Amino acid sequence: MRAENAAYVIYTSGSTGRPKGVVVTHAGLASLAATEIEGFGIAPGDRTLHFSSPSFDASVFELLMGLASGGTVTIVPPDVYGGEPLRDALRQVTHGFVSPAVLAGVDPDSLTNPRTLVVGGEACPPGLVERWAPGRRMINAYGPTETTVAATMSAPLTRDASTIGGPITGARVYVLDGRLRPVPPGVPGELYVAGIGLARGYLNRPALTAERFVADPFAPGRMYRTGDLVRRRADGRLEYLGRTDAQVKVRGFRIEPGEIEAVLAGYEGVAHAAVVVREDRAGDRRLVAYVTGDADPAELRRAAARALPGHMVPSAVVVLDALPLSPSGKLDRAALPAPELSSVSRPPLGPLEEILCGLFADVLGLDRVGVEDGFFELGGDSLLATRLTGRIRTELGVATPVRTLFEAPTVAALARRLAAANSGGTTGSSDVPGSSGAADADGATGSSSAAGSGSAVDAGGAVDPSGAVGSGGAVGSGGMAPLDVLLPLRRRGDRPPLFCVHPAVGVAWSYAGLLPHLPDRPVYGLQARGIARDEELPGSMEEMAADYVALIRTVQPTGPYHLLGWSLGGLIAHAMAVRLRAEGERVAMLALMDAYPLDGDSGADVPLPDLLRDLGFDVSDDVTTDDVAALLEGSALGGIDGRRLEGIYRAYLNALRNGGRFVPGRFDGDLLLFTAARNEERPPADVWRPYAARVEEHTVDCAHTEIADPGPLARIAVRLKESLEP
Amino acid sequence: MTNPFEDPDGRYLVLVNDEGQHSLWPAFIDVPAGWTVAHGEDTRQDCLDYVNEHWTDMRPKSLIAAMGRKEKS
Repeated sequence: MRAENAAYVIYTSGSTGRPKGVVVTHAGLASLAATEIEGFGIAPGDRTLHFSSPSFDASVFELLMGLASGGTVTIVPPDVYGGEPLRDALRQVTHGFVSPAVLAGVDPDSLTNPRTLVVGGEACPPGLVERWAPGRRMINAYGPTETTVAATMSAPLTRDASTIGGPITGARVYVLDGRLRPVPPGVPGELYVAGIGLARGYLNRPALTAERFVADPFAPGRMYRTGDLVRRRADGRLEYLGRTDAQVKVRGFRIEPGEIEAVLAGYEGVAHAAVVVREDRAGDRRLVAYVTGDADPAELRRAAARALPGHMVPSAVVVLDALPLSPSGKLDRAALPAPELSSVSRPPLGPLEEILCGLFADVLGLDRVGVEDGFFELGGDSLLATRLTGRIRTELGVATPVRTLFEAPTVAALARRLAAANSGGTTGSSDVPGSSGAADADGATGSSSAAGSGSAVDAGGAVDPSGAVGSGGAVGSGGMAPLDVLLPLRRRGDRPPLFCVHPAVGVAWSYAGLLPHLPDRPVYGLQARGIARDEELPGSMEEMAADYVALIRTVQPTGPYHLLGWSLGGLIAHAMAVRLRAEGERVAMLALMDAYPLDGDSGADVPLPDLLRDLGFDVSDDVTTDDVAALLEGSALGGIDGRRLEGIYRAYLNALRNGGRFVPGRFDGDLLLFTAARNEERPPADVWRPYAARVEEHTVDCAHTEIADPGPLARIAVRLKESLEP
Repeated sequence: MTNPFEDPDGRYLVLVNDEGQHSLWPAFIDVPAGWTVAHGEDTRQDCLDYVNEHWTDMRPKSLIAAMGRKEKS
């Protein structure tokens, strides 16, 4: 065996639709190991992290760090993708490599290990250095697979993250112009790497090798042209500027969109394919494929998933009539529509499903998520899954392993899991006596076997245990009584609570979509009398307002109060504000979502299907309560029977009747009005002018019925935050 | 910035070094020391076709020789 013998072959993306295998030799590994041991100060007794996927050459970097130094390699279980579980692993090691995207999801607070932290694989944002560099040696490593993992390394980072440092031992770097002449410091040029770490080439691809591994004009041997744009600073360090070609990087993986396009174009029904990286939300880069032809996008995505490695499968496939082109005939990227990743089957039912829909939508960057939509089908990956389970832990106080999300990847399934786990103590067993019928439905689908395999949801803290108000009726929703008048969506938080009033349909679940955007603040819903149990219904809006004011005072005895109401709930919130002022309280915020004074019509003849549509169901006019009860059976709200549904219907008619007779008083403060741009029947915002000191209008691009979906709520929350007391 | 190796209409050479390694090379740039012209000048594609045809064992010559000795011994 000689140093020039092949050590391993690792595949990277190629532009021709064929991945290319990079043949790496032992020579490069030896010099890399020496660099790591010396540069990171690794000695026997140290513990190093082994976390990277074997399809990523950082895994070689990790193994060398431990095995070549006499240290101990600490292997992270394969179901750890980041977040809190990775944090636990980092606590155990002295040295580790983590890509910036993954590191961003880990909280460095009070973590002293690892003492040496290496980042690389993609550009490292400065914020990450500020968070992680203090108290440890943090190093930025750079290197294409073709140069044996690493070609350059930075000195320990302090603040400056943009530098990839200088060549490691045995490597030479050149920054060259279009005639292969070195460029002066400060001028961008393409980075070429030469030296002992150069790979032999691409396995069985001589021409491709001769294109990329080219004669070195400055020293004997070859140099590899990286396709990376860099600049040499005055101090000699290199600054990474980006790619020179179309290759993109998503979550640390180099991807040639052309390779994915070639695969997609190979399927029947696809005429043209274009793959782009979209960043519809800052920091959230995703591959989206656009195709023309008559292919079914879901089927195409599944086919792509079979043919391509996971990191190359587009998050979404969009079928277009034609690809938009610029005048010069090139793909007009700006004209490509953002993918609509979701279709909604039945609406989320109950606060738990609403909360989960809000968290799914937020993590995935979607406007809304249907309860039966799979997290991974919608573009979720392991990193986003880690983020989601972290959010579920924060919002609901439930530790949910990522594995649970793989087993129950829809809002509906996960809600059933959480509800069952909660009602069954901490075992996660779903057939607990007394839990809802919904849990049995879960059992029937076979996804409840988790209890036996140890992967059950661990309801470490109950989901908002409903102690304060009417705890009797918890209906399989994870401890919340979903129909109680005062519905705690989140109890936690030191700031003054936000109270959200139900629309004509008496439930306030949809406000759960606000939770991701209003951290550290309790949020309560107010729901109509008569929906949880048969009871006397209020005779006027004033009566409803008085009832709700008394209830919110049990949570927050004195002002400043913050009120929000959607549709009819806006009128009630206004009446509550007027009443609170009459009682001498401060109302710091009164916000209405597409709510306008009604003009005297009684709602007595509104048919049941309208109620159901208000609840979000897509139903025909001849729907019966039994049909709906059947739909509810599969939800976390199972247990609502036809009789309760009739109660909800009576409360709905009563609220509309009260609203029709209501004449608002005058509120002596500011009224914040969010109008739905696509509500064509909406009156001008001026109709509120007689009833408030000042009216401030914000238009949200949605329909009346969509304004309480997670997407619009996210935009509304931005403005609410400005008015909410800190 | 145009890379000199990526011009589809450019003129190119194929260079070979004493390890038998092949390199595409822009015809307008001086041939580096230690390399000889094996083909060209020619179109980019014809140069690449030449490489595919002639560079059939991608191991460096010294390694081929060393491995051959080992097999014989």
